[in-house]
Amino acid sequence: MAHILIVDDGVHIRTMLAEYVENLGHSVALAEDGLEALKYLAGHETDIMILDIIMPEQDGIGAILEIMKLSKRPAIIAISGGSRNFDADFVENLVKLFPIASFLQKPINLDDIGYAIDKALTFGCK
Amino acid sequence: MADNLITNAGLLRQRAETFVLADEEFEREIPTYDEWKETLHELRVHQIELEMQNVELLRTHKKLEESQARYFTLYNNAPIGYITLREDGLILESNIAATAMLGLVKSDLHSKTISQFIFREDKDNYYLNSKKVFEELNVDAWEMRMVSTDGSNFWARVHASPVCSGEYGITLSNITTRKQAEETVRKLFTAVEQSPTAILITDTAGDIEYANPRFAQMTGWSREEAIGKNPRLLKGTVITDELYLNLWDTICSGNVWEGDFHNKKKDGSFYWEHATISPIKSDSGTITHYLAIKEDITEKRSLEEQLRQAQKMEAVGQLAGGVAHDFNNILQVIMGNAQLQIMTSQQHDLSTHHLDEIFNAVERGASLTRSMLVFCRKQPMELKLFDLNKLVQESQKLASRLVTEEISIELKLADLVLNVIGDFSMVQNVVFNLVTNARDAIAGRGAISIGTQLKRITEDFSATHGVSVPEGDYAVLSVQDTGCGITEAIRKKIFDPFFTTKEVGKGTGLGLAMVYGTVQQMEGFIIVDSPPEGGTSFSVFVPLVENGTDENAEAVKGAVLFGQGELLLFVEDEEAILDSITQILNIAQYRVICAANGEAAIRIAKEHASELKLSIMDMILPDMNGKEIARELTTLCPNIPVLFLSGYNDENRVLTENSGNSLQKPIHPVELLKHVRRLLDSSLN
Repeated sequence: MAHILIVDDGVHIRTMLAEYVENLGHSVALAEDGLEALKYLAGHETDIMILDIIMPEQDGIGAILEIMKLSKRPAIIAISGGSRNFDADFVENLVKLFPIASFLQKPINLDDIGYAIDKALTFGCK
Repeated sequence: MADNLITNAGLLRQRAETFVLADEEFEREIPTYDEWKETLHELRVHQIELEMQNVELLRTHKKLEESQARYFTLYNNAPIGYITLREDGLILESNIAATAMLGLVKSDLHSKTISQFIFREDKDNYYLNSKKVFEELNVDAWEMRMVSTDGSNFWARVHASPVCSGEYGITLSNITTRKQAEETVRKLFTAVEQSPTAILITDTAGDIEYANPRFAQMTGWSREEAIGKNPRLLKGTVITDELYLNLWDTICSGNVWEGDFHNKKKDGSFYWEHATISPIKSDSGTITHYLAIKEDITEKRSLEEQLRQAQKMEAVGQLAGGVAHDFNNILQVIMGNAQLQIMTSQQHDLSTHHLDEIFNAVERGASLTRSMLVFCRKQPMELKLFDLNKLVQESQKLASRLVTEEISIELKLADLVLNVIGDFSMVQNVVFNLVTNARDAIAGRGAISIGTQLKRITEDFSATHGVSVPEGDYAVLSVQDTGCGITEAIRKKIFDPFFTTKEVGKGTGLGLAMVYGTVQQMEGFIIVDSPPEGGTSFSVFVPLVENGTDENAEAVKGAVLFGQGELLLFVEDEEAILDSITQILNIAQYRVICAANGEAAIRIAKEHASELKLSIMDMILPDMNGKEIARELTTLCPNIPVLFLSGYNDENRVLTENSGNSLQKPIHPVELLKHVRRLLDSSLN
């Protein structure tokens, strides 16, 4: 059992992912952007963070940069469906420059999320 | 004349008396009274007879004089010049017309020769011809240029005939007007013969009387084959009788017909021609011939078609790219919830058949989105800094191909540089789309004006135009037409994808959607102005970048991340970082040469010294440190900036924080690309 923070600006995606992750037997917290996520991480020990990269307030990359500074940081599973300016492949190439556990392109098969969580719990960050 | 007659009469008497005195026989015998009487009678009768004869003679003489005077008047007032010449060319006599033509004065007669009035190059021609007249005593005619006393030239048609021994007469007609007309006809004929458009002249029945060489080139039918035939010999399969009826209706009623034919060449191949057919009328207004001007527009049509297709694809691609992100999120919600419900159903041993169908459909949707994205990635946004004026100038040529000759395109460019950041070819497409719409709004004759200007947007602007836009300096691209205008109701919808007012097949409805998308990406906006009196103007506002300075350039999101194929040297020994950063740099359109150590870096720098624009260097390398390599590089290529990457946990860290030319690992890709671009731009300056 792990504690997982889900960060996505889409409420339907957040709640859907939360239900799935809870079904897997993990505990879940939710945040709608990078700033909210960082606030949460400061006060709560978190094992895994599922992080959408393209978000309005602070985007995923900004959040990752801040998380790098934390002494104890969660394993990151980055997710993205691309944006008007950057398609998902570009985003994938960008985030792979950082120590993240996995990158998944939206729409994501929930089985892949489950697999990524298992992998992150077993091997930690890359 | 009467005095002359009396004098003559006196002389006559004198001479008669002499005769009488000399007649000796007359005085030998004295005549009898009866003989006197008879002789007197005879004399009186004789005298009366003589008087009557004299009256008759006088009358005849007068008639002769009158006739002479009449002919002299005719001679003198004839519109043709008459000149009598001596054999050597001396002018003996000339009528009024000739006098006027040559500018003669009375003293010229018997003192000047005709050759003094002949154009220098034509004198030879004159001598040859006049010689022939003398030798063969024949009438001859020729044309030559003459020079009047005042120095003016004219063309004359000359008729020469011998008058009497040693004299001949010439007549002169001024044919300058005719010669000029002939010259004009000759020039026009050459123009028609050399014309790059095919030109046909037919009689009123439509049979070809003339065809220029271009016609033969275009159709494969030689002039000889074409003459006498009907242009219908070019008839392709697509032409409808209706089109021909319309054509004949139009030209028979004296109007000009214009249209496109899909015609057939002699070899059976098809081509598109644009034809303008007009009647040729006589002075009285009767149609005597038809004139057809034909242009092969096959290539133009295919270019237009290509352009249309490319624009359509680009627009679809842009839309796809724009919606893909949102679409993926929607698919994500459907897919995830379907999966969750499948799990729940499985737990309760319920059928998941319907949910499986949903899941499968979402997967198909996801793959469709991916393929749309692959399509739109074919034309990636190539953001670069450019002058809007240059773009308009470069687009003008192609833009003018989009419009007919009846529409003029005028450029009104600002006389200062208007730097903006965007994808050059997409902004060109903005111009083409706006010009195409302007063209379609104009029926017949009209004008399109493409302009640029600098505009400072203040609060007032937002208030007057009912739009909320950031204040600041904007480069404005405007396309204005004299067309039919846009109604308020339609104006609301013009930017909607697939909305079009054009006929089916004529417009995709994506043109303005694409314009909108491009302008949005550049963080600009569009103002449409269409006053009730007609004409429309589209003004595209995009943020102005002040001569490429960093702050302004970086203000445009993402723009400065990209390169233009500059060659970079990347020195890094850690393979994972080398791969990923190289990939990022490639995505951002830089060319990268990699080196894993200092020795390789220096070797590569030597080979590519002229092309190299920047090097990115890890501080710690197996054989030498980054600083040492940098020193070597500076001697090889003095003006190449170096960007250092320092390790996150380097013990002997030389640079402790991110500064102008160094970055700390982990590298934020956006930061990396920003630094690269900034160093490149400043080294260029």
